[in-house]
Amino acid sequence: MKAMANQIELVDIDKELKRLWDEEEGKNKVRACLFTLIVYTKKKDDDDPWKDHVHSIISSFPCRVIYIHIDETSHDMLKTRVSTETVTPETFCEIIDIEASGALLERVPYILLPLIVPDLPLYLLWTQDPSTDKIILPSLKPYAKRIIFDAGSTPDFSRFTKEVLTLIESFHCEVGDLNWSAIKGWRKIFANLFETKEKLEALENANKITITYHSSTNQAHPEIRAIYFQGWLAAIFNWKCISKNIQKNKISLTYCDKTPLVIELIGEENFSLQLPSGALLSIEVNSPLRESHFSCKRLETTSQVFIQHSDTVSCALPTCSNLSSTFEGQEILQELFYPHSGKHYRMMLENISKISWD
Amino acid sequence: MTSSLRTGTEENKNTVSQNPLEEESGALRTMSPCVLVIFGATGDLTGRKLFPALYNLMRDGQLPSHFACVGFARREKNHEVFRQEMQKAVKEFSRVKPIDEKLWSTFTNQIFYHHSDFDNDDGYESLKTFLEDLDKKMGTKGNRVFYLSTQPKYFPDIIARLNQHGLIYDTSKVKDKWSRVVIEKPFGHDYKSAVDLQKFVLNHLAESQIYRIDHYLGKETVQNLLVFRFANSIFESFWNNHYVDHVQITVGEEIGIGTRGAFWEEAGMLRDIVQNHMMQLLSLVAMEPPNSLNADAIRDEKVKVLQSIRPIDMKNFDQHVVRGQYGPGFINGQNVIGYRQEANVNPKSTIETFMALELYIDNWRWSNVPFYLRAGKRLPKRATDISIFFKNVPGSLFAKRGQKNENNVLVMRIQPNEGISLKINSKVPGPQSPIQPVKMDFNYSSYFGLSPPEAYERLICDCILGDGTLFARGDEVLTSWKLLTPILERWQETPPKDFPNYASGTWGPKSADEMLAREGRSWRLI
Repeated sequence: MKAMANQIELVDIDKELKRLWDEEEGKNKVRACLFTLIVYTKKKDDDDPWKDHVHSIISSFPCRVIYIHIDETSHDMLKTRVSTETVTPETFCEIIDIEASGALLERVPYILLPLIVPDLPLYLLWTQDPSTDKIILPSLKPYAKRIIFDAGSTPDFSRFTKEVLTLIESFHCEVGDLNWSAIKGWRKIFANLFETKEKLEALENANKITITYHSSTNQAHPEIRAIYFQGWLAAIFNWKCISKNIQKNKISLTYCDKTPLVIELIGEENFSLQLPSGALLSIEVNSPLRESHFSCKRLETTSQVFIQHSDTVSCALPTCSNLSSTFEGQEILQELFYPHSGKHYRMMLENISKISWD
Repeated sequence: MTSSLRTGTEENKNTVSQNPLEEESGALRTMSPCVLVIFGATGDLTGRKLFPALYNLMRDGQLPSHFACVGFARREKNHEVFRQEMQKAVKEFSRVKPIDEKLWSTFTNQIFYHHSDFDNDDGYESLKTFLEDLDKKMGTKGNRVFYLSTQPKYFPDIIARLNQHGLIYDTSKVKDKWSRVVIEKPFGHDYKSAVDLQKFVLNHLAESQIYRIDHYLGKETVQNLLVFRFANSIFESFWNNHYVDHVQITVGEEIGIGTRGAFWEEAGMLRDIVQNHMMQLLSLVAMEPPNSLNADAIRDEKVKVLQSIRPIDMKNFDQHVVRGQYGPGFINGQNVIGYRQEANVNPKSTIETFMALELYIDNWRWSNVPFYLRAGKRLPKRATDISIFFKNVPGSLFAKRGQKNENNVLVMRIQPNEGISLKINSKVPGPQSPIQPVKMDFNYSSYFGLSPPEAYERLICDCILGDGTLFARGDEVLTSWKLLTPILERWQETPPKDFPNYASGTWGPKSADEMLAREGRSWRLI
């Protein structure tokens, strides 16, 4: 349940938080807070979709949430609102909204620092291209325990990957990536599927890999997860990209190591309304070694993947496997509390940062 | 970076021992594909606990990507009927409701039923064939968990037949797949039976394949004992006999034995609660820091605690051991009957529904610190907690002004209202200086959301991962039986003359209070 957000003066933030807390007096509430979560997003006219994701975080881990909405349409504006959200009968979470634009953006770091809850972690959910912000992110980086990115928002993917790599190398904080987390299930399926020496060799020497993804019109870069997945494979096997061809809903990459390899990333529009844009739909691998063919296809209405492989020697019975992520917002929860995107993520980023994605 | 395809042992030269596609180890643990076979699948535990746990594990993405579950039981039914029954059970008992029908429709394809008696060899052969078939269809790679959710009398038969029919693998020979057996408590009913059962089980299984469930260890609050003690430097410095006056561990229930009269007449409080749950809590509170977080390092320290407990002083037995049985009383506004009036209970029964115990751990850390344990049914409320009472401050600084200093008490509430509190003394605002105890309180539900994982979710997960930390090891079980069996023998020799000796809705017999009063102490009012 959410209390109404009233616009207030900056100087009144603490007073308003106290007033909201006092309203709950006698109702046996706890001002629970495990961490501060700062969500950096662009202001949209309709309801910010990130609010649903944040709600799923608060439901599991009560925290103070500070939204920073960057309004590119307005000039020199700074507005604040404070509200609360009650997730359980006992829990009371504080939500602070800051809208800013133009020259007044410079003030945001000064507003934020006293609002960070002392002694507890600070997480940043950065839904925009980090390289475009020179004011707020640099001021928060030293304090953040973890910065979680959504690469789907960035207009310049190459610049994004370089920026994130710089962050990883130069700062103490950990980096998470929602799109990397979203393909964790597929990576696990691949690790289980290619678990023998022969199959790994077939994969390493593949000559064609086709990855299809759900492409909808409401997201700028639905191909990100597919790029990440192929980038991961390329990093593991040290494939070097020698050419690329980018069209609408189709990206072809040619790698050449021992065997020339073509990787195609194909967007399928309107696959399913229930799947988020960018969700991987299928991955097929063809290899000249024993004429191997591997197919992993997501069943439309479930979180299962249908797996089949064959070669000149055998044709295995198809199996079904579960993707690990089953509910909306799970990726964010994973990225907050279960950091695992270390070495492989970095390798993948280094690989794809070498390719120009314009 | 080039790939590295190092091969495994001779027996499994195809499977790589270090797959470059596998994530680096860290907080995330990788689950191997497997089949879970539940013996006694039509029993209460499967519907109330196991399947809701499996559903929620799946919902949270915690099940292996290739997984199947087979119910094995004596009642005749088919896959579809079993699936419907489990769906109904999950709808009722899942901690997260409503259930996701789409998710269930995915999960249901992984649920199967196998009808057979536990002593029917054909049933095991057909199970073996069925499981091998599942391996091909579901990619479960021959890995098995056999969960014995049956009465203990069936354990030997099931284990022997699993072994006889090659369903349990010899760990010295088979390396490319694994098999594990989960056994519910009780593990034996006294020291001798536990030793016999252990010998029998070890004839068929390696210790590493045995997972003895004590579901208390799966509770988040119990697991938090280790984190609380060893991830916070401040507590270790006063977690010893210099600062601790005594420790109280209480497991109280307001319910009676309900419909379990027949079971309780054979078991009693010592066997059902004290020997397993309470000894686990005691060992976690009292153990030394382990040198690592691997299962054996932790269990080694727990066993050391149990081995250090002073044997019961049989000469002054009644001063250190109290038993009780509830009589009629009044709970939650209702009159309730006494134990002897319950269904399937002997009207002259001498079985205990309450037990209190004073123990001493003879090691440097706990020398002369009494540990008071009590467990009972039909107490005023349901509460399991561990209270650490600290020694009072030296001198009488505030006593000169007529102030009473209360002991600091650290309470770890295991259930319900899970959390941790610390009672401290504070000045009451005002010109005079009265001292008032106050509580610093951390409440799980306020901080960690709506529905923390249930114990069985964590335990099933850990069993599939092959992590035995939260399961009782053989020597743990035998050591606690060795300590407590003399109590059973004394009770057998001297039937109680005063049963029932506490009214339902009270905190147990007076002799339990006297046990502490002799030392100038009292039970904490929960």
